[in-house]
Amino acid sequence: MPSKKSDILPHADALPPAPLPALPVLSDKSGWGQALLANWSIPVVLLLVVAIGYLLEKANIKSYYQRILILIGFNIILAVSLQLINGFSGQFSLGHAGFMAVGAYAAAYPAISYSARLTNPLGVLLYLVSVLLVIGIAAGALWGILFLIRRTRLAHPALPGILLLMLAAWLLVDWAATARSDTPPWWAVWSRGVAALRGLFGWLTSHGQPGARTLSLKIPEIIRQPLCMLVLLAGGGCSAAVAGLVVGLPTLRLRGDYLAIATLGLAEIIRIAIQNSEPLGGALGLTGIPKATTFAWLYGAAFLTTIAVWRLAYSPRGRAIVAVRDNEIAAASVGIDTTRHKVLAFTIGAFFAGIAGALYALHERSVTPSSFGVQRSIEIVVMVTLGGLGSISGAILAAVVLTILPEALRPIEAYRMIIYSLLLIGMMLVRPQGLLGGRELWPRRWRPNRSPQPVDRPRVTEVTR
Amino acid sequence: MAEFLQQLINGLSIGSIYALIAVGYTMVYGVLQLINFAHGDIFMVGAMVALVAARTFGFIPVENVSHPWLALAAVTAVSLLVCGGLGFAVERLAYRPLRDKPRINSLITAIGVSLLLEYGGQHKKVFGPTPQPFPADLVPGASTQLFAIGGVVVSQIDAIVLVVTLFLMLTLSYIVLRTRTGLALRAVSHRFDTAALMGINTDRIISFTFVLGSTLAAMAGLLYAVKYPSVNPLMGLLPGVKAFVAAVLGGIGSITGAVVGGLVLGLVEVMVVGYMGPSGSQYKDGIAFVVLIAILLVKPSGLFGRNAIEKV
Amino acid sequence: MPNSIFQRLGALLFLCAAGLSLASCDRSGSSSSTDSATEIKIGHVASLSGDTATFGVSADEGIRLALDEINATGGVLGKKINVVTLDDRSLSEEAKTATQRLIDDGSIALLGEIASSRSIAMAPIAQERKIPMLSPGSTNPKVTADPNGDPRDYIFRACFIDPFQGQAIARFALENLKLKKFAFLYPVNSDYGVGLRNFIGEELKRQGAQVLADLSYNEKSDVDFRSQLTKIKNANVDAIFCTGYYQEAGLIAKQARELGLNVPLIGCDGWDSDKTIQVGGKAVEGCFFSNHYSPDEDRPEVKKFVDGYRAKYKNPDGSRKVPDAMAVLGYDAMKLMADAISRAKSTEGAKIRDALASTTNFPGVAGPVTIDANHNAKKSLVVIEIKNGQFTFKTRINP
Repeated sequence: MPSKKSDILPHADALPPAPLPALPVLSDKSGWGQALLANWSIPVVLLLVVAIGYLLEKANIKSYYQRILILIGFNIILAVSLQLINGFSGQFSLGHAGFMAVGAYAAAYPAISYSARLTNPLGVLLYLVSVLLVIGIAAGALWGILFLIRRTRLAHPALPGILLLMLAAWLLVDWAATARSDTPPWWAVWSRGVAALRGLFGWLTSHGQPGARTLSLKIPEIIRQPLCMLVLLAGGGCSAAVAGLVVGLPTLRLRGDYLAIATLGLAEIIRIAIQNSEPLGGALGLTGIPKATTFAWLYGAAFLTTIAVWRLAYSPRGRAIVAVRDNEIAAASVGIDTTRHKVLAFTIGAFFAGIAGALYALHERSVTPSSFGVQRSIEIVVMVTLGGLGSISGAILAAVVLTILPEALRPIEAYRMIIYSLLLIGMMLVRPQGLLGGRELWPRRWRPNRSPQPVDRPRVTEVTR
Repeated sequence: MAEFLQQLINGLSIGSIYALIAVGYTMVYGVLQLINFAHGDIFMVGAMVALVAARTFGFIPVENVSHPWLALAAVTAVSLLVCGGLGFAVERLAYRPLRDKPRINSLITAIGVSLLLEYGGQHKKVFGPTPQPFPADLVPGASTQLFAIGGVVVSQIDAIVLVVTLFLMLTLSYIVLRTRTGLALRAVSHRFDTAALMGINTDRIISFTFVLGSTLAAMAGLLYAVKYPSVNPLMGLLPGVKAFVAAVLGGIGSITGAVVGGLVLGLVEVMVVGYMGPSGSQYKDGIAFVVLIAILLVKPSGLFGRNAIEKV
Repeated sequence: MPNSIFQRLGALLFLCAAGLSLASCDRSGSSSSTDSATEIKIGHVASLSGDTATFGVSADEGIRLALDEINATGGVLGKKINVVTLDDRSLSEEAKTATQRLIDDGSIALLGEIASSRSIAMAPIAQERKIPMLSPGSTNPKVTADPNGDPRDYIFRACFIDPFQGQAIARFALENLKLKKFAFLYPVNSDYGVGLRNFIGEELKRQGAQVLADLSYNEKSDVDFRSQLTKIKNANVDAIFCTGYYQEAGLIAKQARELGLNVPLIGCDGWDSDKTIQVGGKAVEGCFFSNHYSPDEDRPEVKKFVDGYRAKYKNPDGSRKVPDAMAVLGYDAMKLMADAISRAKSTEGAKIRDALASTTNFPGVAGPVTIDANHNAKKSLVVIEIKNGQFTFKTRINP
C-alpha cells in the first residue's frame, strides 16, 4: 500500500476486489467502495436496505436507538447534499434548512389535505403538478416581462431601468389599491394576474381532484402507498429544487461570506413566510401528517443521494464544478459556464434537501417552522466542514458522529452543548481540513493526482486581504 | 403626521442600537474579512456581566445606591474589561491559529465560539437560562420623556443611545484616520502581507481590533439592557444578525456606513410595521433580510463601502 | 503534508469522540434497568435550554417541589417516585428523541412539554407506546385531539385550553371592564399567542366589539414594540390584548407608557411571573391578566405551594424566587400524576390512563381539576389585577 494514499484509515485498495466485475463505467478502480457505486449494485443495495429495515422492525431494538438511526439518516442526506454545494462547488451556503423546509411543507400539505392515509397518489400528483404549473406560468410571465424590458435597452440605454422602476411603482400602487377594496380596479393587473392564477389552481383542484381520487382507487392497494410516497418525495424534492433555482440564480453572483449571509437570509425569509401563512399552520405548523417514512425509505433515499452526488461530483461535469470552485476565472477561460455549474450544484443540492425534508415531514407527523431555523442550517454546515470539504464519505461520517454525540452526552446534560461547541472549536484548530480533508474513504473514480487537495490550500483570493 | 414623526423617532431609536453593534462588526470584518458570529454573543456577555457586576457590588435595588453615576461607571468598566479580555482570548485562541487557513474554517470556529457563549451562558452556574430584569435605573430617569411635542415622544434613553453612537463613531473615525495605530489598522485591512512587510505587527493590530470591537459590543450590550431591561443569554442572536445586515448595508469596513446602515435598517423595519398593513408587523424580521439581499445584489459594496475588485 | 502528526491526531480525536459517544450511548441504555422494585420512574421532557428555556426550568422546579412533598410522605404505592428530566433544547425533534429515550428507560408515565408544538410532536409517540402523558401547560386544543380522528386516549393536560381562556378574558374585558374598542399585540411565532388572539378575537366579534388594530411581534427576539404601539395609540383603543409571555409583557407596558399610551393591557396566564412587575415596574399598574390561581388566595394548597417554592428556590441574585404559571402547572401536573397512579393502584399505562381520565375535583393549586371527555382539565380561571406592584385577585370565572 503506497504511503501517499494511506491516511490513518484502512484503504479500500487493501481489500479484496469486488466479487463481481463492475460495469465499465466505474470499473477503472476496483474495491468494495467502487463496487458499491457500480450500477448493478444499486438495486441490490436497495433490496438490502429494505431487508435490513424489515429485520430492524422485527428485531426488538429500543425505539430510542431506532430514532437515532433515523435522525442519522436525515442528516446523511442533508450533509451529503450540502457537500455538493459547499464542498464541491465551493458556494458557501448557510440556508440548507430553508430548502428542507420547502420540501417538508410541500410534502406535508398535500399529504394532509388530499391523502390522509396516503391512499391517493394521483390526487397528490395533481396537486403538485398544479402548484408547479401555476408557479411556472407566473415565473414564465415574469421572465417574459423582464426579457422585453431588457430588450428596450436597444432603444435607449436608460429605458430598462425606468421601466423597471415604473413597474415596481405600479406593483405597489396596485397592492395598495387592492388592499383597500374587494374588487381590484381594472388597471390592477398584478392582483388580477394573481387572482387568475388562483382561479386556475382552484379549477384544476375542483375539476381534477374527484377524478384523481376515483382513479387512485383503481390502483392496486399494495402499491398505492409506495406510489404516494414516491410522488410526495419527488414533489418535495422538485419544490425545493425550484426554490433553489430561484434563490440560486440571483445570489450565486455573490462570493464567500456574502453568499453565506444571503443564503442564511433567504432561508430565514422562507421560514418567516411559512410561519405567517395561515394554510400552512403558522407557528404551530402542520399536524396529523401520516407517518410513512421507514428505515428502508430513508436509507434507500440516503443511498441514492450518495450515489447521485458521488457520480455527479466525480464525473466530467463534477470536475467542471470543482474547477469553478478552485479558480473561477481560470475555469471560465477554458470554456466552463461558471454560473450554470454553480446553479446546477445548488439546485441539485436543494433537491436532495427537499427530499430529506419530505421524508422528515412524513416521519415526524408534525412540522413546525421553528425546526428549520438557522440553527439547523448551521448544524449541517458543521457536519460538512468537520467531515472535510469535498469528501462525501467524510460528510456521512460526520453526520453519524455529530448526531450521536449530543445524545451520547446526555448523562452530563447540563454540559453537553458546551462540550459540543468546544469539540467543534478544537476539531477545527487541530484538523482544519476536516476529518477526511477532501479525500474519500475509498478511491474515487476520478483521482486528481496532479493537484493535491485544493481545499487544504487557501485560495489565492483569500490570501490577499 | 404626528404618527409618522413618532415612527421616525422609533426607527432612529432602534436603529441607533443596531448601529452601535454594527460598528464593532464592521471593524473586525474590515480587518480580517471574518464574520465574527460571536460578536452578538459578546454583546450579550457585556449586558450579563454588567448585571452580575451590579449584583455583586450591591447596586440592586438601585434605590440603595447613593451615587448612581459612579455605580454606572464601575459596572461599565467591569463589563468593558471582561468583554475586551474575552475578545482578546477568542481571537488569540480560536481565530489566530486559523488565519492562514480558508476562511470557512474561521467561520466554523466563530460558530463554535458563539455556541459556547450561548450554551455556556445558559448554564445554571453562569447566567442561567431564564430572562432576568436589568437595573435600568442605573442610568437615572432613562425611560422618562425627554420631550414631547404634539404627541411625538422622545425618551431620554433614545437620546443617550443616539449620542453615544455618534460619539463612538467620531472617536473611532479619529482613531482609524488620525492615529498611527489607525494607519496600521488600515494598512492591515488593505493588504495583510504587505502591511507585515512594512514592519507592522499585524498580530498586535488584529488583537487591538478585536479588543476594541468587543468593548464596543459590551457598550452596546449595556445600553441595550438599559433600554430593554430584560436580559438573557440568547439576547445577542437577533441583534447580532441585524447588526451584520446593517454593516453590510452601510458598506462593510466603513464606520460611518455601519452607523448609517443601522439607522436605515431601523427606519425600514419601523416603517414596514407602520405602513405595510396588518401583515407588516409579521414580516418585520424578514424585511431586514430582504434589504440585505437587495443591497447585496444591487451594490454589494454597500452604501459607503469602497468598490473592491476581486483579484485573480 | 497530508500525513502530519497533527492531522492524524485530530482524526484520532474525532474517532475517539465517536467511539466514546457510541460506548456511552450503550452504557446509558443498559443502565436503565434501575431497580423498578423500589421506585417509580416518571419521565419529564422539558426545554432546559434554548429559546424557551424559562418554561422548562420553571415547570421542572414545580415538579421537583411536588416530588419532594410526595416522596416525603412515602411516595405512592409504597414506592418513591423518581422523575427523570431530559432537555430538548426547545426543539421538537429533540423532544421526540427524549420521549423515546425516557420510555425505553422504563418511565411509566410522562410529564411535558409546555410548548404546544412540542407536546404535539411528543403525543403520537406516547400514544403509540401506550404511556400516559400529562402536559402541564400546553393549551392548544390539538395536543389531546388527533386531527385524523384517531383518539389519543393516553394524552392529557392539566390546564384549561385556549378557547376557554380566550373566551373568558374577552368576556371579562367586555362585561366587567365595560370596554368596547380593542387592539391586539400578539407573538406571531408562538402557537400559544396566536391561538389566544384568535379565540379572543372570535369572542369579541360574537359580542360585537371592535378590534381596531391587530399587530404582532416575534417572541423571544423582539424587544422594541414602539412602532406597533404607535399604531395602536393612533387607533384610539380602550385596551390592548397582549397574548404573549412575561418576557415581553413588561417591556410592552413600559414602552406603551413612554409613548403616552395609558390604556390597560390585558394578558393571559403567560404573564404570571414576578418578572412582569420587575421589568414593567409602574407601567404594568392597572393591567389585568387571566391566570390559574392567585397567590393571595387563602386556600391551603396555594399557601403551601407558594411558601414551599419560595423556600426551595432562589433567584440568581439570592432573593427568593416567586413561582410563575409554569411552576404552578408543573406542580399540579406532578401531584395529579401521583394521585392517578395511587388511584390506579398499578404502574400499568392503561390503568393510569383510566385513573387520569376519571379525575374529578382534584384539589390543585390552580383550582380543582376535573378531566373532561376530551382529556382537558376543566377548571376555573382567575383574573388578576396588578395593583401596587402586587398580583391581586380580581374575579373568578367558571367554565
